[in-house]
Order: sequence, then C-alpha cells, then structure tokens
Amino acid sequence: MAETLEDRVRVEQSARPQPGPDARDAGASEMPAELAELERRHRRLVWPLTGCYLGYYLLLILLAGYAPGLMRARILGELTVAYVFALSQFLMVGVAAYAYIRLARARVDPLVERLHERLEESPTREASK
Amino acid sequence: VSGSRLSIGLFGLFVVITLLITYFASRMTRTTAEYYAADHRMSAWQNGIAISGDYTSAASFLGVPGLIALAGLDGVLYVVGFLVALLFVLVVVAEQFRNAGRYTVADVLTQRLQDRPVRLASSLSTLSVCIVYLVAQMVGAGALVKLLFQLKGAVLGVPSEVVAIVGVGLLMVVYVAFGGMLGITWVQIIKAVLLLAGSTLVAMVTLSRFGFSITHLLDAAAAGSGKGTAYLAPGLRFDNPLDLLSLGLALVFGTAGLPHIMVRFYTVASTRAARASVNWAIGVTGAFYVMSTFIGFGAAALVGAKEIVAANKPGNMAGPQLARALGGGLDTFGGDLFLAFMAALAIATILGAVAGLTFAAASSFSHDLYAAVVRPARHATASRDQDDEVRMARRAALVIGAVAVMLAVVFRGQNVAFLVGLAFAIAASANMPVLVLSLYWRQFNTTGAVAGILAGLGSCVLLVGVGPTVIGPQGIWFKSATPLFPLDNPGIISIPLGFAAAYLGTLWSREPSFAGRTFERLRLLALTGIRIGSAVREPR
Repeated sequence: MAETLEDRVRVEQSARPQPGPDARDAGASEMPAELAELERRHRRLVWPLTGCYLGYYLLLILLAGYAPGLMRARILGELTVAYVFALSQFLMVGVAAYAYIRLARARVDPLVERLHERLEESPTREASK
Repeated sequence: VSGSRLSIGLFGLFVVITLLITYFASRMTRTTAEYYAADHRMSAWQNGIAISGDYTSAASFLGVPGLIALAGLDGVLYVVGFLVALLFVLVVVAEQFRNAGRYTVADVLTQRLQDRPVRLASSLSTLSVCIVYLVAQMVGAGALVKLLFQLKGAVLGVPSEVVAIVGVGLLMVVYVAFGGMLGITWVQIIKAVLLLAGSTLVAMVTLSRFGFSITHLLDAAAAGSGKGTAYLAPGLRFDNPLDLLSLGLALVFGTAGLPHIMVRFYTVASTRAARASVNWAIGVTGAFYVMSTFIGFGAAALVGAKEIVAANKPGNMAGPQLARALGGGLDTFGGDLFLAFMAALAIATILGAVAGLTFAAASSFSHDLYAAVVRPARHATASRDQDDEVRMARRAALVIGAVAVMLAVVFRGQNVAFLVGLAFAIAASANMPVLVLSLYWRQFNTTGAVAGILAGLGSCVLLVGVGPTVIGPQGIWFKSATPLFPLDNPGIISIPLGFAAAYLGTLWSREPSFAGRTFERLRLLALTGIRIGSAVREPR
C-alpha cells in the first residue's frame, strides 16, 4: 500500500524538481517525495532571512560597541546615526515579519497543504494507527 | 496616602477579576490537554496577546523606561534585542515547536531522542530558568510595593516587602493550580491589554507636550539627563563592547528557550495559528516597547535624571514618576491618580509574568519529571494517569511557589537585576541550541542533547557566579574581591559552549543511529503537523 502511494506521488510530481538524495534512503517507503522539496524550500526561507535580521541587529550592537565615533555623527538635525539606526530596527522587525509571512505563504504553505490532502486521505496513515 | 489607597483599590479590582477568571477556567479544566494547553483551543490573537503578556515582565515595564531615561541609546539597544528575539522565534522555531510537541519543551526533543535522560536534563534547565526568573520578579515585587505604596513599616510585625512577596506568591499559585493554561492565558490577555493601553496613554500625553516631535522630545531628554550629547550616543550603560555583544546574543537567542513563552504555542490548533500568534505578539510587544521608549525619553525630559536616581538607583521608578509629573505633580489629585494607575499596572505586570513562569515550571515538573521519569511504569489506566498528572502539576505549582517565595525573601533588598540576565543566558545556552539542533540536525542524538543542556546551564551559572554582578565591588558578595570573569552576561561564551557540547557529545557517543527514519518523521511532523509511522505516540 505504501508503495502505491509513493508511486502515485512520484508520478504526479514528476514535472517538479527531484528531491534530494537523502529522502530516498532515510524516508523509505512511507515518506512522500514532496517532503524533501518542502524541506528545501523551508530551509531556503528560514536561514537566509535569519541571517538578514540577525545581521542587521548585530551590526547595530557591534557599531555601538566598536565605532562610537561613527555612531555619534549627526544625520538628521540633532539625530545621531546611532538613534536613526536603533529606531530603524523597529521598522526592520515589522518588515522582516511581513516578509516571512508573505514568503512562507507563497513558497511553503502550498506544499504543506498538498501533503495534508495526500496523506490525510491516504491509507498509510490509517494503517499506521 | 490617598494615592496609594487608590492604587491598592485598582490593583484589588484586577485581583478580583483575575480570580473570577480563574474560577471559571477551573470549571473548564479537567483533562491533561485542558490543563497544560487550554485544550489547544485558543485563537491566534488570544495566544499572541498572551505571549506579549508573558514576555513583558517588570523588567520591561519598569526597567526599560528607567534604562532609557538614564542611559539613552544603550537602553534602546536593550529593547531592540527583546523584539528581534521574537523574530527568531517566529522564523526558526514557533510553528515547528507547536507541531512537534504537546505540553512541554521536552516533548519536542523526545520526538526523536531517548525519553528519560532528555526529559530529566530538559526539566532541570526549564526549572532553573523559571525559578531564577521568578525570584528576580518577586524580589522586584517586594521592592516595588515598598516604593510605590510607601509601606515603610511592617504589617503585623512582618516587613511590608515580605508581605508583598508572599501575597504575589499566593496569588500566582492560585492562578496556576486552579486556572491551568486557560486561566493564565486570560490573565495574560487582560494584563497585556491594560499594559499597552496605560503605556500608550502616558506616551501620548508625553508626546503632546512636545508637539508630537520626536526630535524635540529627544533634545529635552538629552538636556534633562544631564549627559548632554553623550545621551545621543552609545556607551552610557555598556562601556565594554564585548559585554554589550554578549547581552545582545543572550537576549536574541534566549526567548526561543524561555519555557513559559514556548509552551504558549501549544494552546493553538494549527501551524498557521502558531505563526499568526507570533505576529500578534510582535505587534503588541513592539507597540509596547515603542511606547516604553517614549516614556523613557519623557521621564528624562520632564522628571530629570537627578530625581529618577534619587527615587531608585537603576531608575525603575522613571515611568511612575513621569506619570505623576504628567498628572500634575507631587500631591495633586491628577498626579496621585496617574501614579496609582501605573503602580497598579506594575504589580499586575509582575503577577502575570510570575504566573506564566510558575505554570511552565509546574508543567515540566509533572509532565517531564514525574510522569516520565519518576512514574515510568504505566500500571494505572490512562484516565487515572491523566488525573494523577494534573494533580501533580497543581501540587508542583504550590511547591515551586513556596521555593520562589523563600528565595525571594532571602534575596530581598538586593539588586537582583542580574537574575533576569542569568535566566535569558540559561535559556539561550542550555535550551535554545538543543531545541534548534533537535529540529534541524539529522545526526543529533541523546548524548549530544544531554551534554548541550548541562554545558549550557553549568557554564551560565558558573560564569555569572564568578562574574562582576555577583562578586566584586558591583556585586552582592565579596565586595573587595576581583571578579574572575569580566563580563556581566555569559552569553558570548556559554551559547557557543552549549552548541559545541551538543555537537561533540553527538560525535563521541557513537549511539546506534536511528536518525534516518525518525528524523524524516520528525521533519514531516514539524513542518506539516502530520504524524505517520511509529513516531505517533498518542493522537492529539
């Protein structure tokens, strides 16, 4: 039964890019091939985005510690670089959260939904429990 | 005097409302799922606002405006760290945490690691984080009551600080033991809404005094701080760049390891709802921190650094002092009213935060230590097991409350701000690395998890224990000694150490690897919420 499911999944998504090699050996018969694709998209979203917002925050912390001269410079009237940079972090948090939601909805959620449709009506799940 | 009566009255109203909530919640709480996770029935906005309520402790409501009033930019750096931490929770862990676990942090780890050793270690670090954080909040509650209500003397021969600590302890145990997750969620929601409303009011009145111009406000704050242009640049609070970096890392990574924040994700029913609840939390918390920043500037501008320091050296009274000044000043009706309002909010804030912490500690005690380690033999029927576990959680709340009260009474009057830093550092070094590795690293194994937790926890406690916040001239003991570790916060050493120990433990143990299949099942479960194969223990 598991094999027929696997075959069905494979046929239906043959047009899509091939999953990574590790899904084969480890996932064995029960794991849908789409999991590897979901995994790939998820990691491509999570880690680069995390690099961006953490980088932006750490840059502020590092400049505050190691480049006080630069941070003391004024750019907007009385406002220093330090304050503009620090207050811009609030904006950055909003933008990053929004970006995450949009990207997750566009790239990750459709695959998750497809897996739900497939596995929740599939015989494999009933058989397992 | 009339002011302090008024705030006792307002606070009393909060207590009555929250006790009513607790009563109704207790009638709807019977099974383990109801007790630990409000039966996974909270909606995203409810959970999101409650996360914000859990997250904004007295350190945020009182500490942040004080820090910003006195140290300007360095205070803003602190706040930004808290907020970026929620992004890390959103992107890296929240959804998967909800999907993979059930009631405690250890539930996620044991999806693919061995049950007993991992639960034991995870419970140890969860209890450490919660108790350290609890003691910090409760010592703060004692100091706050003394300051705000001017109860200098004693009540029936007991110092007023001790009365406050015991009172807070009693209330939090009642919320947790009877209300369960449903009860404390609503307590958090009410608290968070009041907090945001109160902060917004004070911030807006402040801004209106400066024609809603942030630059005017900032100029006046720089003048009032007595620091002049230094107020507009970094370095007033953190003169050691490494210390600032270390604190920043602990803040950003700590939240993903705070048990009372993470167990909130179990109260929602879907991956999407987990994601949406962090967004609500970011929105509410972000708005609150923006308001706190304005309150800090306002306090520097309108109260002045001299008076802030005179009331409380770290500046914890800056917010209430500003409120009083805006209301009309000392001994005016408006001033008393505003001050009373802020005082009641401050106590409600502490109460909400300690209830969340006690709940997370009690859950971990009964679900991880008692149900899985102490009572592993499943001799009773499933339903009797459930009753047993909930009963144990309620008792654990009482014991944890008693321990926290006793420690807080011992430490009262000390400057325990370092304990909040220690709680975040343990969360970031012992909990976060193991959680992230168990979700993302295929080879990770039980030995690695136990090693990571113990190394993170041990190094934090050790480095803080020999650091400048505990020993030496700035510390609380051995004032003449030189601290053996130079930094206030151990994060920059202990977080990498937590990861390194988890990595080396995994490589050295040569555990028979069943990572392949189990890991694939965990990934499917974490990413989609679908359970297949033997990873299924009990359906949710």
